[in-house]
Amino acid sequence: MIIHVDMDAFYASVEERDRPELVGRAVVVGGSADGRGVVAAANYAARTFGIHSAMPAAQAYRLCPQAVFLPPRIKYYADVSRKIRHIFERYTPLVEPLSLDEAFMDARASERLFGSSESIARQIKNDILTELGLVASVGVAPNKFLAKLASDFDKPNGFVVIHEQDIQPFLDPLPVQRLWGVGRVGARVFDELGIHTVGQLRQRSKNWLCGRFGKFGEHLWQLAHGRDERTVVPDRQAKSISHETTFEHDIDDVNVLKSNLLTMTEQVAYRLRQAQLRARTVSLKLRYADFHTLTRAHTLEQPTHATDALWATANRLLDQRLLPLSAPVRLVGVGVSALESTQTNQTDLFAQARDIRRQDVDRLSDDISARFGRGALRRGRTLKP
Amino acid sequence: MTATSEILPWHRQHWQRSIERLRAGRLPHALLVTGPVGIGKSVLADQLARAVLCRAPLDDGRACGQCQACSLYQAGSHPDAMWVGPEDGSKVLKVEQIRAVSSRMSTTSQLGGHRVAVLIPAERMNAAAANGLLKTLEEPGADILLLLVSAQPGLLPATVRSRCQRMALTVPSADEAEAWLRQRSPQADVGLLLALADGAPLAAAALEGSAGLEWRRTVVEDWLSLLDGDAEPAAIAQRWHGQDLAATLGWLMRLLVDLIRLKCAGQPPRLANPDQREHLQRQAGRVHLAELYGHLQRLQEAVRLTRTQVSAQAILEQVLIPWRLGASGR
Amino acid sequence: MKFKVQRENLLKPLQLVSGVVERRQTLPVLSNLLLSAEADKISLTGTDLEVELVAELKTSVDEAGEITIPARKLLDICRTLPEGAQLEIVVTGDKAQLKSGRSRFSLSTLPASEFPSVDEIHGMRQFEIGQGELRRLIERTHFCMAQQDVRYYLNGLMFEIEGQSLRSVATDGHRLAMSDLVTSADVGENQQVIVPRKGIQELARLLVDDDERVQIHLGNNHIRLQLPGLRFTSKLIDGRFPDYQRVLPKGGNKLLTAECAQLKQALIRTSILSNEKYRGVRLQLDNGRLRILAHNPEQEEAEEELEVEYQGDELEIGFNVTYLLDAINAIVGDKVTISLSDANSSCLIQEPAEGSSKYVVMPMRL
Repeated sequence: MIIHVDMDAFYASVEERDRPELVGRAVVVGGSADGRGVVAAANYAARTFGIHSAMPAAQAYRLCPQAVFLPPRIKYYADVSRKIRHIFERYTPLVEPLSLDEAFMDARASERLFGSSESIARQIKNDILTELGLVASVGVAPNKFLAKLASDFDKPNGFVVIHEQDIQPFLDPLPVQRLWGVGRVGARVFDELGIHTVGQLRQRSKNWLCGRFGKFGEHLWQLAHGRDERTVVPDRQAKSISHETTFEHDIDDVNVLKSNLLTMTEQVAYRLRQAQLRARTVSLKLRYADFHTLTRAHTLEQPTHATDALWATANRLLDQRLLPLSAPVRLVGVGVSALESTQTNQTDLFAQARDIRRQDVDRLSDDISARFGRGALRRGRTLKP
Repeated sequence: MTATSEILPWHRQHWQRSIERLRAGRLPHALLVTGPVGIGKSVLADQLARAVLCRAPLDDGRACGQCQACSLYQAGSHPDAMWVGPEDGSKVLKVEQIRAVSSRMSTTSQLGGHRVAVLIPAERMNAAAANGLLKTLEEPGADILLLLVSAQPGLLPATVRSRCQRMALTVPSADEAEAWLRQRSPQADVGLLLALADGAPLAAAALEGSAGLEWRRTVVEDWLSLLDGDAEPAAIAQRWHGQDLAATLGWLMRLLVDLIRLKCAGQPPRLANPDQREHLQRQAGRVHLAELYGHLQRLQEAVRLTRTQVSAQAILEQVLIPWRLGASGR
Repeated sequence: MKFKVQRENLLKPLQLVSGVVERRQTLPVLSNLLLSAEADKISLTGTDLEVELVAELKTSVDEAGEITIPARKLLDICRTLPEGAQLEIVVTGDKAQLKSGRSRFSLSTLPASEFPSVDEIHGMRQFEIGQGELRRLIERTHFCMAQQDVRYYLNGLMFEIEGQSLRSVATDGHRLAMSDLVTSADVGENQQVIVPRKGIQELARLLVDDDERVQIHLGNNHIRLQLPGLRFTSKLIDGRFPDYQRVLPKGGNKLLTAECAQLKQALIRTSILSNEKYRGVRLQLDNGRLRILAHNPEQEEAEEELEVEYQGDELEIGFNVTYLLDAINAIVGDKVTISLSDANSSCLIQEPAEGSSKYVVMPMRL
């Protein structure tokens, strides 16, 4: 069984935990009340007002003027995330982080030691709550796709297990938009086709879906049948590391895209450094509202895990290869591949001093957040796109 | 031994300027040869490459076709010349190919003259390939000429474009084009061919008597009968399936643009399908302009979809069905 | 064209010349050899557009001429003919007829005018050195050449002429090798040329270790060597070699001297458990003692300790073990000296008596 742990309203919950006076109030992380920036996270109180991540802060402010707007502290959240990761690693080395607040685990090999995957998942949820004061939603299922659905099913504070025999009964009644990559707007396309639930989608043949949606159709067919062959790959062994965001509403504001991309790039870079890796190739993924997906990649001369260098490349890819947008965007992602270990780092006779300085900045900022937990070091764009 | 071809009349100015610069030793190391399809960009690139390598050029700068360099070039074995395009059914210029160019350009000339590489179509370089070329563009050795030929230079990374000097070729005047084409094909309907080729003379010459021209006839007829309500979209899509989709959409686009012209101007002097003026006029009287813009948008979308996994049949249906609806709605 | 030749006389030069012809060549004429016959000799030319080899041999020519024929096929035919066979080659029209005993072959040809041979080279200067001497210059440095580096000027071996000395230098950016040769003849004006990797590899194959003199011609675009019966020509790399003098370590105050064989064996054993891809080993130096440590991703570990001559502060430094071994292998003599300064700076490896070769290796951050 695969375990998926998803922290509930992570950034906002961390802020609430640290500042008890916020409990019960609507908390919005990212952007400021004067309307600049975009929402990085909103707690459940804020969500009842219709506020969600990636929404322009100005809009969030209109929806709920009394909300508390906080600047994001990514380095600090990363530090908390690392503590959560340490909890996971007590039970299994097979941990694949998806972002700071989400991870897959494969604990099958540890079942003799700690009991069934289900009971391991319960222990993890409990450890996170008692040791860190944070609430997680947990899903346990035969594969990654289902585990993720399960953790999402009863959010917040959920704990859902899907056994082999429960797969189809669980999936069939779900709205199609819950399938990974479809999203709310994509559901409209299916509405027009008279497909509202996963069960209805499952009635369609693979050929029909492929004719309609190309490769994405094949993917949909697999998911509708509860199939997903992906294994849990820890970063250290990963061939690539990527983050992507499916927006709840299609985005056509480039600044919003960039803001999201920078946040994800920071997370990717952070994960690279944690796994002691450098990447040579940076890739960008854009999915338009009509599922048309573009990816663009650039290979650097020297591998890096420096946020600056990765962001410069991602930003250039977006500017030069993907803009102007031909339609509103459903999903963006940033990934790195061609990974090399930094543990064995051959120095160069003719190396440029510039690269070394850049690495030092990141090492320093990681150290600061590790030591003091309050890194005020932030890059411009996450605050004001 | 084949003599070098004549410089195309509409290239003469660019040609003369290049030859002057070559003789003065001031030829740039990278030229981006741009312009619409079918006006002879690759012809000029080839003539330039030969001229630069030739040991005994003619008075007008063209290669002699006789010397060692010329005979090696014609055999494809000139050690200092490369002609690089997509290989083995691939659509892109791969990084390995660009590496071979960079490597050849980084070693000295074998015959002691220029080193020349022609990249065509240059915009097909994938990201890694374009990246690989940058080094050569940035630090070229002496006597290097890179000819990047592209009808869509906008698709090239700005870093590549900014490191090349632009040689922007244009469509010749109608008179010049007609004169040239008439001399080449005295029997042909020169006006129609040029209209269908957007005035590009080489494209027009290639159309003459080609299967493409035959195919256009089918598309026009099917489309007209669709508009008249005499044919079903699904049947047409079925018949068109398996043909060159991009070409088919291209012909449709021309028909649609003509309808819009007729709708807006009444008696537009120029049509992209001058032979269909009567039919088009008749159809134009039966549709609303707003509808046409709807069709235009769908067609543009269809062109974009050709680059995706969506099946040709689905794309064609998406384009054709609304025409049928329009017809029944009247 | 018409001539006769003994199989044994043809085979060796044919093998050498065919060696440079690329197997995956798509252009037919470039997978051919240029065959020319005149008076009492024939010559065979093969090229990959970077390196050209011309072999010449005496034989009886009935009719002069020039043509190109498929290299691989000609070689395969010659190789498989019985020993002592005599071949007759006659070119009529666009076919080359090969006759030997009762065997008959008809090979397709392409005109000589399509074959890109390098006739004369421009801006020439000449000098002579011993074949063995040149071979040693290459052997001691070539392993440090880069391979397909974007810094294209590193993908070759640099020869530098300075007064009476000829020096070879190679570097891939991680390490550097240089070797000096004092020639008897004054070769004149200072000059640097970079010979591409492929040309160096070909030369290493052709040169033999003897005192026979070899003529070197340096042109603006080519280097050419005249060997007995064989002419080698290579293009040059059109670029500036980096300032290698700048990266030769100077302040190495920590001197380690060890037995070559002993150090080499210890390094080889340790390397078994180093990371297969990165090949990192850790050297720990203390008074009179060297420890070599390695571990791999499977957490297996190796440790070697050996007695060395070392005075100085304790030092721990990481290296790619392959780089160290390559350098030590190229050292002549029983002992090797390594000078170091700190864990972030390069080391200098050489023979204790400051021999003719020097190796610089950059450390790894472990």
